[in-house]
Amino acid sequence: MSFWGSSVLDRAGVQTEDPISEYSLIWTVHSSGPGSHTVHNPPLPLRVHCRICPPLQGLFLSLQMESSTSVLCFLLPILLSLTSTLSTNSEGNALHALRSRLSDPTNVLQSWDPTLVNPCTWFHVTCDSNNRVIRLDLGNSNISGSLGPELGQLQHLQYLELYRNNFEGKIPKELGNLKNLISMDFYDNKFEGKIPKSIAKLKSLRFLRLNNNKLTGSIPRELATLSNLKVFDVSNNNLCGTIPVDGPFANFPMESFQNNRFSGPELQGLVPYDFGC
Amino acid sequence: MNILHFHPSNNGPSISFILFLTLPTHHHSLLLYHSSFPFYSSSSSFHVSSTSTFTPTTSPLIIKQGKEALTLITWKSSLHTQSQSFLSSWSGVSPCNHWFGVTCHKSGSVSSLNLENCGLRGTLHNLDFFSLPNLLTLNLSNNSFYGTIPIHIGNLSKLITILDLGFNNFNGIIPHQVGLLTSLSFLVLASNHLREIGLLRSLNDLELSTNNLSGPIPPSIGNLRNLTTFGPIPPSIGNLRNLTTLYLHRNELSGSIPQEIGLLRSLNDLALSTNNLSGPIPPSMGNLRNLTYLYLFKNELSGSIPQEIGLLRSLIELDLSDNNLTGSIPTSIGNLVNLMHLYLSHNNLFGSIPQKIELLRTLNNLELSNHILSGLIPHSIGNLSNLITLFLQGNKLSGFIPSEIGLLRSLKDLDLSNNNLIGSIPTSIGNLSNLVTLFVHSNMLNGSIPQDIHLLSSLSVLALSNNNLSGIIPHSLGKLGSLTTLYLRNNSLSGSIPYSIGNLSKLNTLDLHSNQLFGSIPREVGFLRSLFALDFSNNKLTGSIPTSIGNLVNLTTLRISKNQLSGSIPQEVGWLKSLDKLDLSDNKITGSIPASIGNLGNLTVLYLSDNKINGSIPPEMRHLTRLRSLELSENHLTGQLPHEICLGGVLENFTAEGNHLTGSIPKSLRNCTSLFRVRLERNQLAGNITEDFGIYPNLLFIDLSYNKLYGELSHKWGQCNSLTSLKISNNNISGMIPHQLGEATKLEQLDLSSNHLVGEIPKELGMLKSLFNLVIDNNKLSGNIPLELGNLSDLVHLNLASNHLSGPIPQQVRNFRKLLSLNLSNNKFGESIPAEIGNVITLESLDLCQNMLTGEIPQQLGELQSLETLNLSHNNLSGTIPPTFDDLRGLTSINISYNQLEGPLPNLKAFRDAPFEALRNNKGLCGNITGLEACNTAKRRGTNFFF
Repeated sequence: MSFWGSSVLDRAGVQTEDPISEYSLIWTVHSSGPGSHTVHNPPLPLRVHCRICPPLQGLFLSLQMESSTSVLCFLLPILLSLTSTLSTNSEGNALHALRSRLSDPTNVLQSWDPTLVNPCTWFHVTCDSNNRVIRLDLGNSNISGSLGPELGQLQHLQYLELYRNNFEGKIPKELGNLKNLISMDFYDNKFEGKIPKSIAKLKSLRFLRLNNNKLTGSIPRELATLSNLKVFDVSNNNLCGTIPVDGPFANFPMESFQNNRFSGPELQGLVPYDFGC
Repeated sequence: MNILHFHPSNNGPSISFILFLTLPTHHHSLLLYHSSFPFYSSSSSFHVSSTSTFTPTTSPLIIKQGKEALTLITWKSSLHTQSQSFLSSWSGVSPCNHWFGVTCHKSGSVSSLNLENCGLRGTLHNLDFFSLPNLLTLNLSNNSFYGTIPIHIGNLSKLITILDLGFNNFNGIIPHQVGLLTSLSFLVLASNHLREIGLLRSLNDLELSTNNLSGPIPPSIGNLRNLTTFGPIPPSIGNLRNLTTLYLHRNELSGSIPQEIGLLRSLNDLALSTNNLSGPIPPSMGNLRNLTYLYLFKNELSGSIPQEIGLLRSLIELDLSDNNLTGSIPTSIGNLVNLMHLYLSHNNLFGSIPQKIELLRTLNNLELSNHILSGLIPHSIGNLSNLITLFLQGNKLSGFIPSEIGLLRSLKDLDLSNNNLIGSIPTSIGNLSNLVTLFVHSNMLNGSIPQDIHLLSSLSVLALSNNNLSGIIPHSLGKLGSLTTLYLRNNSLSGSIPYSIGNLSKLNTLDLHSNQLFGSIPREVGFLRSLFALDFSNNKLTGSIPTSIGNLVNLTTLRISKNQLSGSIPQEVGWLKSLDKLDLSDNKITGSIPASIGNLGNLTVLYLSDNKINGSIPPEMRHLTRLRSLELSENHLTGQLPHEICLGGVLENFTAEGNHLTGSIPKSLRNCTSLFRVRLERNQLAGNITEDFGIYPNLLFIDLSYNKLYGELSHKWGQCNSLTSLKISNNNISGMIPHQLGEATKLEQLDLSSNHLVGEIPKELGMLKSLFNLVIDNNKLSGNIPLELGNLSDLVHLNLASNHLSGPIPQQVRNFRKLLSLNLSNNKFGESIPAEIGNVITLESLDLCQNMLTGEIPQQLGELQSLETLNLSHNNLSGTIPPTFDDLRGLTSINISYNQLEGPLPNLKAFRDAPFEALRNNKGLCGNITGLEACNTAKRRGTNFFF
């Protein structure tokens, strides 16, 4: 529920709500028709056209009338398009931008009201005591759609649980910005493309489950530097190359790699790691 | 001869017509349109003047007169009573003898019936046209005649020239028989409820071709040469090759424009606008060399603009806007050197703006907005020195704004908004001294606002929002004395708000939202007495709110949230009686809420949250009966909430969480059925809430947690059909959980933890299929876990800890396929841990401590790959830790102390790093940990990490 009108521009260009009722109504009347040809018979039709004017988020109603070249421009700022004050609520904006990409047939995201001052009362979003988002729990939610770079703005996120949905598209490299991430569970989706190298920046990561997707390419070697990684599963994808053996990879069971097109464990110095890709 | 007709018609699907055929001159007009113009032009003079009047004389043909009189009286008697009395002069046998509206021929026969605008009501069915053989004029316009136009209208005299049935309530179709009236030069059927559909189908008959003009335009309309050769329409009318004006705009014409339109070579004006025409613009239109005005706007025309448009060298105005045209703008448009007005907006044109547009030197208005045009704005646009209006907004134009735009000295309206323009606003813009509106918002412009902007002395609207403009707001902006609207929001403007802004006495909208402005709000803002809306929110403004703001008595919106304003809310705010929305949230405002706020009786939105406001809420707030949204949260407010807070019955959003409020829940909330969202948590509200709450059909979210409320939970919560979140934790609520809560089936979060609830968990909670948080720990609940809770397959968090619950942990736990945390600690659960917990592979946290669980730890717990914390302490678990625990690699925290466990610890960091306190008091655990014995290697399979 919005009392200010919802913001178009504060939210990464995501247009929401009804632009007419929510935004300032600004009317301009300007000329058209036969211009200064005063007695033009019969008179030209009244032309009314509207344009949305995002910065004003206003509705322009241009009435093009006969026999008036001068532009009458009167503006009635009935409401300033006072967007909800979320320009500093970047996490809420990011989540709202995510929502706009998603299809949510079971209305799991219904409570994601962008007009609230922060997303901390949104369901399936958990904040810490400073109202920063630390968990996003959307596992098993029948959601489809793709992720976008905006998720990278959730700097305090620890758990990103998107498993068992119909997410598709690439895993955004911006997820590498989630420095506090502990768990990234994307298993049982339709993610495609490569595993972004940037995931290797997530030094706190303990759970990384990407199994049962359509990922291609090789396992980025950089992941071997994730010393906290405890659970890793990329089984049932279309990955290729060799399996790393360094760092945490020394401990992962082979089941975590099955049903790919791997050419076997890495033979350091003998074969390039993306051999066979 | 050209006549205008404007026909008010507010009758929904009805269609009004004017069919207007003129004979006598070389310029013929054919009009058929539907309009909603609110006025009616002087056509009546035509009606009168064109009627030949002859002095009635005594006629030898008395019998004939008598028959005509009888005909008219018969008709009169069929009309409504009032109409009959209006025609009281119609009596006797001689209609030529001062009968109202009747004019006779020399012969004594009725020649004209003119009853225009007489308020008559009735039908035509009893008017025997056959008996008026010499009628030349029948004018019934602007009455209330209804019913169909009778087919016997064809019995009218073949010499009738004027038939005006316009502005009545006739319905049905236009009968074909109208076509028999071969002498008609003037036919008006406009502004009735006539349906054209039936007519159109029969339009192969050329006698009806005048009717063809409605509905889809049949090709025959363009086949004008044929029309001229056919009988019923006089040749000089039908010779439509001479047609100069064809206006069919504002109908519901559908279908495509026929190619044959190109045969109307005499056309000067063609208006097919505001219809539902589809298909392409026929290239044959290029033949209309005399065309000066071409209006095709507001249709559904598709395809590209034909190159042939460039052949229409006489064009003065071309309006193709609001269609579905694609393709690029044809370069041939440069040939239209007489063009003064070019409107192509709201199509899907792509490509760049053709360079040749510079040839249109006479152009006054150029509108190319709302396409997907790309490329640069051509520098040569500066040659269009007569431009008054230039609209290029809503495209994908890139590059810089050419400085040549400063050459367009006649320009009054310039809109370049919503493009991808970069660079700075050219200083040459200062030359546009006639400019009234300037829209360049929603681009990627940088640089600062040009100093010379103050030269735009006529400027009324300046919209620079949504760019990357930096620098200061120039002081000289204060010279724009005509400015009514200033939009600078969403830029990076810094510096302070210039005090000169106070000179903009006509300003009604001032929007500086989301910039980097600092310093204090100049008190000169108080001079802006015309201001409706002021938004300074999301800047870095400091200082206090100037008291002068109280002068802005027309203000409806005042928004200064998200700054660093300090000081208190000036009591002068109470003078802003027009105020509808007031947002001062997220500042550092101190002091108390002024009582004068109670004067703002029009206020619908009041946000004061996230400040340091103290004191109590003034009781005068009860006068704010229109409040829909009240946010007072996160302040230092004390005292009571006003009981009358929902006196107006429209309150939807009410948040006051995070204050020090005391007293009870406001009485008026009980019947406040408009409530949508309520947050009062983290206060010191007390009182018995048993009867405080009613039924709220719209309520979505309510949080009353962390207060001192007591009493029992109302069963009415179950009837809040929209409720998704009910949180009343950390209060002193007693009694049972009402089983009716199971009826609030939208409920997703239920948190009643830390109260004094007793009794069993109602099995009806199992009906809350959407529930994902069930948190009822720290109460005095007893009995078994109802098996129905197993239906809650969406549960994410289940916390039943610290109650008196007993019995086994139900096997139904396996249904929780989304469960992240399960806390059953500190109860009296007995028997063994169900192996089914191993099915909940999403589980991150499992706490079963302080129960009476016995038996061995099920090996299935090893399936819990996501498990991070595990607490099984203080039970009677025995046996060894299953080897499957080696798979719980995500574990970070364990506690298995105070059980009867024995054997080696799993080979996991969580166990290795565990403090002794987490392992102590078991029967015989071993491992390389201080306080434990080392294991005998034989006891454990394979390699043992510890040795």
